[in-house]
Amino acid sequence: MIFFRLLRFFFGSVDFTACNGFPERFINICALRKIPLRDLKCCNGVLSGNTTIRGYKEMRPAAKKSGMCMRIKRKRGLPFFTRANKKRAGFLAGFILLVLSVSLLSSVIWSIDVVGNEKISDEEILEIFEDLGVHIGAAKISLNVESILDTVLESTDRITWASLNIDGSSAIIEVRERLVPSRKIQDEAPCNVVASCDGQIEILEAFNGTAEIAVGDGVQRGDLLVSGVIENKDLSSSLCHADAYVVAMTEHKFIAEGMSTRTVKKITDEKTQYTLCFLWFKIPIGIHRAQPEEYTVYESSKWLCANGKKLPLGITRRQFIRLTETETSLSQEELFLDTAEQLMKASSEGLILTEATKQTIKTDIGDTAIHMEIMVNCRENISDTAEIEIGDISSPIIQEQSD
Amino acid sequence: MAKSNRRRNGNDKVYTMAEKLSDGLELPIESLPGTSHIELCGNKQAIVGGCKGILEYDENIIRFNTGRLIVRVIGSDLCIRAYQDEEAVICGNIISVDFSS
Repeated sequence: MIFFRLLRFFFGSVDFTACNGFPERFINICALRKIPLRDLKCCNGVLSGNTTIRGYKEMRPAAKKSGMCMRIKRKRGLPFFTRANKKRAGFLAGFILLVLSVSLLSSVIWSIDVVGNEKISDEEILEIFEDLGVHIGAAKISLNVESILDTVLESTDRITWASLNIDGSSAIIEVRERLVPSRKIQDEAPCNVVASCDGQIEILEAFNGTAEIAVGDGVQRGDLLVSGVIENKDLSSSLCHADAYVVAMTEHKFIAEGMSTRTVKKITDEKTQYTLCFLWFKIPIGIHRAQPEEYTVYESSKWLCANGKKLPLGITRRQFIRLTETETSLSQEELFLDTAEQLMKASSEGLILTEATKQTIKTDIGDTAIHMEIMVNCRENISDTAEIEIGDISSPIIQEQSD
Repeated sequence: MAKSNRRRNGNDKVYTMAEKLSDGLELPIESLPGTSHIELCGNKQAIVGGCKGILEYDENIIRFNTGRLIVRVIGSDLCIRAYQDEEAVICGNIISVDFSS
């Protein structure tokens, strides 16, 4: 129905009334002459209805024949509007400007979103694509998506796959980062079990391989605990993937120091500048003066959104902050708490998956400094695998033996 | 007897031919010329096809000439939404539709 309403609006229509005479004869004559009649109502001999502009002009003789007196009740539609405002050039100029604005704005990119990235930041990816012409305000027709993606994959090896989808005026960049697998010793590869730190063996269970130490032995970091070389019954040797559960009593020491006077950076001056952004236009709000290099610049942008879509209109805020190093002094209590916090943090990070059996804290408080250390005795699994490197058959040692 | 009575009236002869054609060729009768077609949508709208002319038009009663029959639509707030090319769309509160010759 809205389609017909639009047609009526564009071509114009006339609401009329006709009284006196013979309404039925009038309607029959109009139907015979193929004059379109709509929304006819007859009440107490007064006929009202709607017809086209041309139909109204052709209706006059039919009205005269049937003795009806016709009057226009209302004129509707674009033809009447344009005729009434023919001399007003502003309407036409505004309409042309509207059409140009809509066509121009719909042909450029308003917003760019980046999805799929985890380690690489959005700004880095946007910078890569910006160098290839993908930025806010870029004309969609000028972008050759295939060549852009090929260039992106060639320029960086951190991205294995990329796609650029332009949905209306929004561009969506989807990337997949390259994953570097961590080096892991295969389950079947021959290896030894070595000590990961110094300690005294408490529990030793060799699941595979030959144990080289016994319970109660002291070991240092890197010492061989379980060998992956097995001696067979025929006195030959073979390699295996050694596996063991080795628990030892270890000792860890953590130190933290603090000074009562320390240098901190304080904000001594702050200035803010705002810029209105619309596509590629940047209009400064207020007076923007160039700031000295000693100022640190922080920039953030906020964009208008409509129905979840980012519009190309926003404000960029640039904050210029000057940081000056100053010396501050802490009280004894503050210094003690700060140093203790550092010590606890270091010890908790260093002792993961261990069972602490005893800890000794030593504190040395001076006038301007404090020294704290903690000695932790703990029980932990010190087994670590070390791959056995298999030598080449053409090595000099093997050749001497064959001679 | 009924067939011979029909043949006497000139108008009926055409309609009878249309009936014969629709029966023989299994065509829908409304596709043949000279037949009227009325479609009712509840009691709010009626579409009358094959309307030759309007005999009476008021907000409570509308009478159509469909050639062989005269259709009378009785109701309230009746209006002709569109009337063009022998087709009329009637809207309003339709109480009854009756036929007379």
